[in-house]
Amino acid sequence: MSGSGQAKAEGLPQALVQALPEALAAELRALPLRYPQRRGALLPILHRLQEWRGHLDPADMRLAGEIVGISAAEVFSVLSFYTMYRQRPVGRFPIGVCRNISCWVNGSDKLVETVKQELGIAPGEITADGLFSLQEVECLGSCGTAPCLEVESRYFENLTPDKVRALLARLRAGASDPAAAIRSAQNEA
Amino acid sequence: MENYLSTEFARSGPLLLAEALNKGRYKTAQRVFELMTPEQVVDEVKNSGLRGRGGAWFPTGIKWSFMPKPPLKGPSYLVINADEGEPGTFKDRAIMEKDPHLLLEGILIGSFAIRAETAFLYIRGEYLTAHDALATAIAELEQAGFLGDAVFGTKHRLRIVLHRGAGAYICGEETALLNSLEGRRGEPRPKPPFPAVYGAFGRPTSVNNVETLANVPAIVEHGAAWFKSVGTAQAPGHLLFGISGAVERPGCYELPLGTTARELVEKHAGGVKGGKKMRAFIPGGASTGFLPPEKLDVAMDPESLKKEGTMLGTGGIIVIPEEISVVDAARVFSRFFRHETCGQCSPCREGSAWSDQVIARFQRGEGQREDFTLLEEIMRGSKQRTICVFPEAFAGPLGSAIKHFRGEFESAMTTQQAPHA
Amino acid sequence: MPELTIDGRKVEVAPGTNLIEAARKLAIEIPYYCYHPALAPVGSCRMCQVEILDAGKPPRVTIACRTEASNGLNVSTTGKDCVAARAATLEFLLANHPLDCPICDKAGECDLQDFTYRHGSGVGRFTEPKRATLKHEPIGDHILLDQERCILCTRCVRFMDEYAKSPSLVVAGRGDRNVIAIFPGEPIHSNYEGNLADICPVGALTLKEFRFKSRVWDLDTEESVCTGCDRGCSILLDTKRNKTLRVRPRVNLQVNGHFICDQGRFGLLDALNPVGREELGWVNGARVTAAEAASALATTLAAERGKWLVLLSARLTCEELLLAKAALRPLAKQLAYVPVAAAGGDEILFTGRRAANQKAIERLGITALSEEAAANLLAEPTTVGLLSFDGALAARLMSQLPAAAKSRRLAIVDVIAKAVMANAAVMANAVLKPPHGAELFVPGTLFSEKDGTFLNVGGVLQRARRAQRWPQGTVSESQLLLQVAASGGVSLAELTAKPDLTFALLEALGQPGAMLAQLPDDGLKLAAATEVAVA
Repeated sequence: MSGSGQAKAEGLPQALVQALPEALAAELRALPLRYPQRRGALLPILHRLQEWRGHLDPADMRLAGEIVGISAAEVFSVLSFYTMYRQRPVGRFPIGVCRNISCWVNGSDKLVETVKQELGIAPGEITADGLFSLQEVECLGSCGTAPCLEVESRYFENLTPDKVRALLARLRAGASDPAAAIRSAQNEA
Repeated sequence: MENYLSTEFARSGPLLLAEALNKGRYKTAQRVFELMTPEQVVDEVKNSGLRGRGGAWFPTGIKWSFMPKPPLKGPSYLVINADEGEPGTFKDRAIMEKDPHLLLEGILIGSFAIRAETAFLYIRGEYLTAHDALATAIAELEQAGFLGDAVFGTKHRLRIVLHRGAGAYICGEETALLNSLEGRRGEPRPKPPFPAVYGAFGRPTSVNNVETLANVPAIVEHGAAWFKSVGTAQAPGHLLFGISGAVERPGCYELPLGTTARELVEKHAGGVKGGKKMRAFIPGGASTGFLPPEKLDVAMDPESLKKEGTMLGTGGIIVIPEEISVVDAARVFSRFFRHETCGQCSPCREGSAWSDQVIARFQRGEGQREDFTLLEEIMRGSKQRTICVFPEAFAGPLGSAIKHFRGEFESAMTTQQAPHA
Repeated sequence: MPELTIDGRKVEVAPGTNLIEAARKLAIEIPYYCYHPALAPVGSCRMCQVEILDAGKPPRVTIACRTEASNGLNVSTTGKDCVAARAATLEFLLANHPLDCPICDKAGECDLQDFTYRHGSGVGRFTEPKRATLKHEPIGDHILLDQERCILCTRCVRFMDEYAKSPSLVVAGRGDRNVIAIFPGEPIHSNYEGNLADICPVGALTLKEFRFKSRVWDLDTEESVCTGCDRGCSILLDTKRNKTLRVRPRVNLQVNGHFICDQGRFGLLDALNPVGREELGWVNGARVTAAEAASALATTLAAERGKWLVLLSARLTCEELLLAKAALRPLAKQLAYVPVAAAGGDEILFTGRRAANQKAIERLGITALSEEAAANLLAEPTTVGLLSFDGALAARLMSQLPAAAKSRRLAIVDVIAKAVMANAAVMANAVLKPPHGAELFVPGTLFSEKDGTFLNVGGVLQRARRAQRWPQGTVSESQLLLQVAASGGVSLAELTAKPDLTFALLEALGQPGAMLAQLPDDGLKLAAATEVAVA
């Protein structure tokens, strides 16, 4: 299972790679070369795969393991340690509301309440149309601009319930291209 | 002394290289690479008294002096700890988003000082905007020949690998960060061996915080004496104080170490939001715990705060307003630390969860008199009893809440067990 | 050699020894969970805390597993701080533990129970709801995982990675959500899985094969040797009411270290509990007692001296082999054995050569014959029959005989279990027919039913103690051989005059001096150069 990381640099199992866009496959192959040991590339590879699929499924874990030369179980162990990796599908706009101290002191629970009311979902849930999901997250380092929420690690800060409603509307309007929608919402904020 | 860390903080986007060069950036780094020896840089930083801004306040020059000297038996690495995650802390983010070249110049000089030809910049996964700013800035440097096989045209080589974390507060602990960098679970390593002997990928490594490295260009440019002219004798220089919570003007303020908390909160941050009263404040990030408002005159430096039984930590002040109970605030932290412990050591894994369960009971008004002893013993059984200092971190808010605000907990006990009058 | 002081007593240890092992030398117990002598120390359970005493300084509490013994080090295991620290760790570990000892297979040999008795507090203060996680979840062919009982020492994770070279068991999650887990849908696939139940210090990893079979304190345990291959791993046999319920590794650094393989462990579990064992003898198609069959065999060999091909088996103990050589060589046309080749071994312990005592046969100078050569010899007109101590081999040889030699007679001395027979038709016939159609069948004994030694592939002679009783009326191989010699007029005086057969064996192997009872627990390593003086 573990194999030698060195030997598997090029010969990735075709079945695992072929589902990926060519550019992504090439990038995944190149990432381990940036590190003294191939395993160093594990976190970046998982980030890339998650950006592509939206979450990480068992095939992604196997592929990541093959690339860096560790077992799928070890990949599973590592990714389950980190909160940003998702083992289940989320909405096209996964919303993370910070619940830590400075955001909470400045009304983050009202933001959660607003999202709940607007979308009809509780933390951990996805809207029926698959557009939004909600979760509460720990400190995002936005304490000086609290309260804050993030969508795919893009921050929306100094929020109020009204601003949250406006944000949700903007995101919904741009649902065909989520990344662009998030960017433009950020620019307008 | 003029500000030297936060000059670009008012910008909307990052300072780009062309403009940075116009401001005289990288002249110091170039001089270092062309004219200085690593020993000279280390000595200058050692003499300056610069101490690590990540929260542990270890002298940077001494840390660097532990690194191997020629003849080298293999590569040494500089690892930049940009895994800022301590609640109440957002200074490194400001540097990276607004002034990435300030950090990068520090990385160039730091790498030279410890003879590292590779620097790994480990940035927390959520800081995507800062990541993008750094990626751009690193590309600019490569283009300009400030990185690569001939840094500034000298024989020195340097490459910077930008590496994103994936959501784990504990990776701010330097050996957890190294494990994470290596593609492992972010569990702190037992020490010894220390990173200077066995660090990233098994090689000698110095792990330095973002703000620490951001101080280095100015120190090398102006000299140790200049640096020591402000701050306290034991902790010289400026610090980026973050002030957040219930204040009028939250934000990042660059001020000399030793400035009082009162000056920071009342003068710079405009006092408690809405003119309300303060219930408590946290001096330096979540793990430093609560202090009552009577302590506002404490000087914000490591030694003065130690005298108050707490720490300077990251210098991130959090203000809790009167309408919020310390029991509720303590629960925010206990839930956070329970969520973030790596869980490898039994006392920390179980102690952080257990204490959170107890605080949750107080929150529901179901505290019991015996719980005070129990919480004390949970802390005693885990502090200094584990691989890293995480129990000290979760005990910070817990212990201080009980110490300074015991009355609030007593009124959150089940009625039949209420304190005797 | 560093000399240190533990609880006021001095001890000298090898450089690199940690404080747990140093204290063990003084019979001082330092409790631990995550540490295991065969695995890299991680220092995470925090159970082994002791105090380092340094004149003029307050005692410093640290973990013993990652502290190397150094000269002059002064250690206390009884200082109040470390005693309190260990009790605190135990209270933490027990907080979410289900305390289901009454239904846990580990109870009675559980480190969580034992250390709690000796180092813990009598009361638990945890009143919160306990974590609810997976229980009795199969994670491999043999192992059940109970995440609620788990204390996350990660011995199992490190074992699979470092020793079994199959990193298939991991810690998943973070903090108090940490659990031991496999990759979803990918159970453990390893020849070393059974060890997980042994190294787990609590009842989190248990054997399906032992589930609810017995309370461990009702077991009888004997030291033995695994006969699954010629590695000859040191083992313990746990029996109850004459049934072997568990096979466990016994630490032997010169043979198997701390572990055994599943081929051995579960293979023995089947072999030592033969189903439908043939306990009676057969003579000319009629069931007789074992004693009658033995007499018939002895009479036949004496009457037809020099006409039988006799094949020994590596299942026999060294002492039986020695006796067989002396008793049978004068009576047989040829005394020989068919060497077993290695097949399917691994790089760790399992050699793949399923012939436990083959090394002993070799070194006793018994002639080696290929299966083909043995069949040819049997087919010679001057050979009247085959006496084999291996029933399966005998069946194979008989089936290879040319038509002209089909009248060769067959005698078998072996343990035959009906369960191993191929199909239901054979089973039904087996009631009526002797094993493999043998004219003479004397039921053999299992190695666990007698005391004796085995010589492993590396030349280590180890004692296997009697752990089970043989069926009533059985004539053991030794008794049979004595009877054969007596009836054939072969004198065994040279052997029987010795203090015991082991003593005689060691003399024959050129390394005299010890009787069976004098063998070291981890066996006697024979000099490789010693060659057998062929009589």
